[in-house]
Amino acid sequence: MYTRNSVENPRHRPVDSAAGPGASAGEPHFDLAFAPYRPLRPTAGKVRGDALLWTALDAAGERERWEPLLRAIQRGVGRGRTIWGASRGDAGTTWRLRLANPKREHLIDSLRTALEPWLTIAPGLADDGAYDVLGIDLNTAVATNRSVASVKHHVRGAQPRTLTVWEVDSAGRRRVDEVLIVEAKREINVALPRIKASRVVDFAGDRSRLGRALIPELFACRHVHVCRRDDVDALVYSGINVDHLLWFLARFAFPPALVDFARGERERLDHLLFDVEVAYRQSGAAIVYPETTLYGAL
Amino acid sequence: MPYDEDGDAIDLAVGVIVELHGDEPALHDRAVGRPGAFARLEAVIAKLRAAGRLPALACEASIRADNLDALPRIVGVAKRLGAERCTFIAPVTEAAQMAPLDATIPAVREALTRCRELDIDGHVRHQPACLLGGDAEALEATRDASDPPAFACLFASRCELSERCAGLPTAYIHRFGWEPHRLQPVLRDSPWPRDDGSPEAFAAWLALLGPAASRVTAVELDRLAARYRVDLGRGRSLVLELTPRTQDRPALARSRSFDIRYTKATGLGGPGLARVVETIAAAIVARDDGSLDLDPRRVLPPLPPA
Ligand code: SF4
Repeated sequence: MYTRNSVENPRHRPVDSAAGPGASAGEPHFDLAFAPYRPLRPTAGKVRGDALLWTALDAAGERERWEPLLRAIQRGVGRGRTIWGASRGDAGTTWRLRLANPKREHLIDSLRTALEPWLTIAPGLADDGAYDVLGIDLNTAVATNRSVASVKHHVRGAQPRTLTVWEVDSAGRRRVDEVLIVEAKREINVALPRIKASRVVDFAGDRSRLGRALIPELFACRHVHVCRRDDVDALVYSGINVDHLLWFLARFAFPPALVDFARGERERLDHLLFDVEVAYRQSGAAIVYPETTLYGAL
Repeated sequence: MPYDEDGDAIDLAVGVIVELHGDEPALHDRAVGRPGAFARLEAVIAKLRAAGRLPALACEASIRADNLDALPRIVGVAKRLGAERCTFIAPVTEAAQMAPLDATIPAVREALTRCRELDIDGHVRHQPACLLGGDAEALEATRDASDPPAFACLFASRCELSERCAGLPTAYIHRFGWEPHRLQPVLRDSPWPRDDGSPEAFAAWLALLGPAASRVTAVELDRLAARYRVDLGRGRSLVLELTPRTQDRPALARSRSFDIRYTKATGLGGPGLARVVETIAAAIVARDDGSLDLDPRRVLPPLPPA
C-alpha cells in the first residue's frame, strides 16, 4: 500500500477484473466543471468511477428505481457529458445530474424524449438552450410524481470562472447559486475573501470557524468551487484523490457499503480524481454541514 | 554512519533520547500519565551516567497547553540532567493538548533562547517557520507522507519556507482555524514549475533509474523523499531513497537534485549489494538534469479553460 503520489509499475501489477465495470483506455475523464484531466494511473484493470454511483444507489435501496433512467441518459446524452452526484442531507439522498451543453443545444427537449418512459421534465418550460450545464435533481418526490418540476440552468458569468445557477420552471427562474472556481492553492488570495464574505457564517466573530468551513484534509484538491446559495454556503473540492475521497466518505458518514466498496477498490480507483461538496452554515456558535455530495462522471 | 529501519541516520553522538515534558514531577508525570515517572527518569539517567553508559543525552519536550510557561525551565532541567540537545515538539493529532500559536510561539522562542544561554542545541518541530523569526533555523523539516495530509497551510504554494515547513497540523486547524491573519508567508518571487501529476510525471521518476527502472515494483513520492522499491529477483530487494540534495548529510551519492541512499536491503550483502546500488546511483547521477522536484505542493494543475 502506497500513499499519495504513488504508482505501481504496471509491469508488476496483477490485473483482476472481477469486481465492477472496467475502465476503458480512451474514455474521457473530466471534473465537475467538465474540465478534462489525464488519469493519474494507467487505466488497465481499473474500475469506472460510476461504480461508486451504482454502489451508492444500492446502499440507498434505490438502484432499481433509477438505474434504467440513468442508463438511458448514459446512452442518449453520451458518456463524457454527464456528471452524477449523490447528495446526503436531512431529507435523505438526492441524486443530482449535470449535463454539459457546450453547443447550447436544446438539451431539455432531448432529455424529455430520452426519459419519456419514466418522467416528465419541467412541464410547460420552453427550452431555449441558453445554459452551459443543465442540472436535474432526482429524489423521492420526483419518483412519486413521475415528474421533475424544475431544472437548473448553470450559466457562465461575465467574469472568468464564474457561474450563476438558476432554478427554472414554466413560471420563471430564480437565482439559487453563485459559483467561483479557483485553483485551490495558487489562488487562495482570491478564494479566501469570497469565502469569508459569507451571509451564513460570521467568520470575523470566531476565526476558528474558517478551519471547519474550509476543510484542511480536502485542501489538497486541484480546484475549489466557492458557492453561495440562499441559506448555505458550499465548497466543492474538485480533483481530490482516492485517499482524500476515503477520508471524506468516512468523515461525513456515507453509507458503510459505499465506504467499504471504495476502500476495497482503492487500488482500482486510484487513477481517478473525485469531486466532493460540503455545504455549511452557522448554527449557534458551531458550523454545521446540512448537505454533502459526492460527484463523478457518468 | 548507520541507519535505522526508516533510513534515518542514527547519530551515535546522541546516546539516549528521553521525553521531558515538565520542569517538576507533577507536570511531567501528568503529561506521560505515570506517577513517579519524573523521579524514575532522573534515577535512570544518574545510573547510566555513573556506569559510564551515557555518551550523550537528548531531551524531547512536547509543546502542550499546560506546559508552555515551563518550557524555558525544562531547558534548565535538561541541562542539569546533562542533555546536549533539546527538541520542542508540538502535537500533531492530539487537539486537546494544543495551544494557539500566539501562546506557543513566544514560549518556544523563549525556550530556544534559554537553550543558547545554556549551550544546549535547541530544535523545534511542527511550528510554522514563518513565526519563528531568527529561530527558524531550529525548525526540523516536517515529513508529512500521510494522505490526506496531516498538515496544511493556505499559503504553502506561495511560501518560500514551505520546503521545510508543512504548515499547521490539520487537527490544529480544526480547533483554532487556518490563522491566515497570523502566518507570515515569505512570498516566492518565482513560480513553481508546473506539472499535472500525470502518469508521465511518474514515468519521469522511473526513467531516472535507467535500465534498473524495469526492476522497480512501486514508486512512492512524498514531500521530502522519492522511494523506489527495487525487486532484483530471487528474494533480493531494496528500497532506494532520493531526498533533496544536501552538502553534508551522509549519502551513497549525490545527483544534481538528490541525495541517494538505500534502505531495507533484503537478500543482498557485501560486494553484490555495493555493485547494485552503485550502478543504480550512477544511472541517477547521469540522468538527473535537475528538473524533478519532490514537493507535491508544486505539482499544480494548469488553469482550466475560461
Ligand atoms: S506561511 Fe505556511 S508554509 Fe510558510 S512558513 Fe508559514 S506556516 Fe509554513
